[in-house]
Amino acid sequence: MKTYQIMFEDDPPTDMEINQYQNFEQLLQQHKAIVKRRKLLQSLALGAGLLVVTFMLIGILSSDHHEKKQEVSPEPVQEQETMVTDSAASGQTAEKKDTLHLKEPVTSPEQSQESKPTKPASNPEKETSLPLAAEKEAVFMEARPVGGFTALYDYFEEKLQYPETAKTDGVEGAVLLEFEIDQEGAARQVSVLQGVREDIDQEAIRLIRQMPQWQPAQLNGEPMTSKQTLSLTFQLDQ
Amino acid sequence: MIADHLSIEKQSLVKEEQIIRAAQKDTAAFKPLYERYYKPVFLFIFHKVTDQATAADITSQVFLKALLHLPKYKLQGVPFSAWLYRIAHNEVMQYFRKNHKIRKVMVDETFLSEIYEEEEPPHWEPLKERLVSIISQLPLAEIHLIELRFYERKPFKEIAYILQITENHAKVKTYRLLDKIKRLLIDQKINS
Repeated sequence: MKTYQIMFEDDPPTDMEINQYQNFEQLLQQHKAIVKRRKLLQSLALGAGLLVVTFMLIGILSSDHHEKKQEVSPEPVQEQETMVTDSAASGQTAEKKDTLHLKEPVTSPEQSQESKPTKPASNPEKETSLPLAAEKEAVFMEARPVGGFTALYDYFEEKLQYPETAKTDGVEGAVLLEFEIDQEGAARQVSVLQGVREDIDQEAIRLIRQMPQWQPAQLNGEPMTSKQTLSLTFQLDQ
Repeated sequence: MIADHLSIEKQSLVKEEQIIRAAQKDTAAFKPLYERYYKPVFLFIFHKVTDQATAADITSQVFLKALLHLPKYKLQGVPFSAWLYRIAHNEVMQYFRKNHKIRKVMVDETFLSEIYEEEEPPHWEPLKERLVSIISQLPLAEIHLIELRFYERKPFKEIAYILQITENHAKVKTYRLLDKIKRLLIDQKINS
């Protein structure tokens, strides 16, 4: 690993050679482009994060119902059952996914699940064709940090201990984490989906493990475990 | 003479502070600092990497990072250049971590006079080979001290700031390192 080439003199470039590399205008342009991209990414990251959470929740809910259904009746086709439709999959905001409707599918659960992400627009038509008596409605509440996301980000901001090693090496980056919020509102099963490097990832995991309690997700008023993803950005103050 | 020199230094620092303040509001105002420090930062990097093009790439990264972080920059009792060297130091570390290239370490004769302090230093030429074998065995942290102190000739305060250690730690480590190298040089001489 330690491979150095000890030199007592080298062949330094002349002033003219160095000057030809100087380009302040280009530097300004690069800076401008990065600042612009960062702003765009910041707004996109929030939207994308919420979208990922929405898809995961829908996955959990539909698999829950799928399991329940299998316990009750082994014959899959044309049986009465409930499933979650993707009312939030097309929306990108938190407000839109606060409630999810449960209703009867016309097809088998497998078919419904396949068609779910691709055909949210066809749902209203299906809804009207369903027998009213069989229609059920489930109210789903998304898990959320007590005090809201602003308070949570304040907590991260306050408790973040930038790893000294990463600081020395000037390492920055965003860690994408996945975790569950259990029925008590505590984080568990914290894992890194996309890391930066060991010390930074560990600090991100620590922050998530020790973060204040959440309001757990609720289905019909019953607390339930939900999966969440969150991105933490590590940036050095120079 | 010394007093004059100091007052010029102080004046240039004051002016630099004004430029930094202006550049924090408008990045175009950074130009005088870019022009002033491009060459020293380029050479600082060039003395560690093997070619000019790589040095130019890393230098542009250094200035880009400097511009991006400039709004948060605060004067911390060391010249602005130390901040640039600190970014450069980190960028060079990152470059070698990613590329596994051989790192250049520049050493010159001042190093020898530091090792032997008041004693008459032995002849430089015959010692070179032995120094190479000794320095090749040193950990990277000690290499940084040798470069910054004996090649870049930085004061301990700036070395400490660049390496993010305390000034006292930088001093103690450097003097211990000089002792160690001197001992190794004597041992090698006896053995040969």
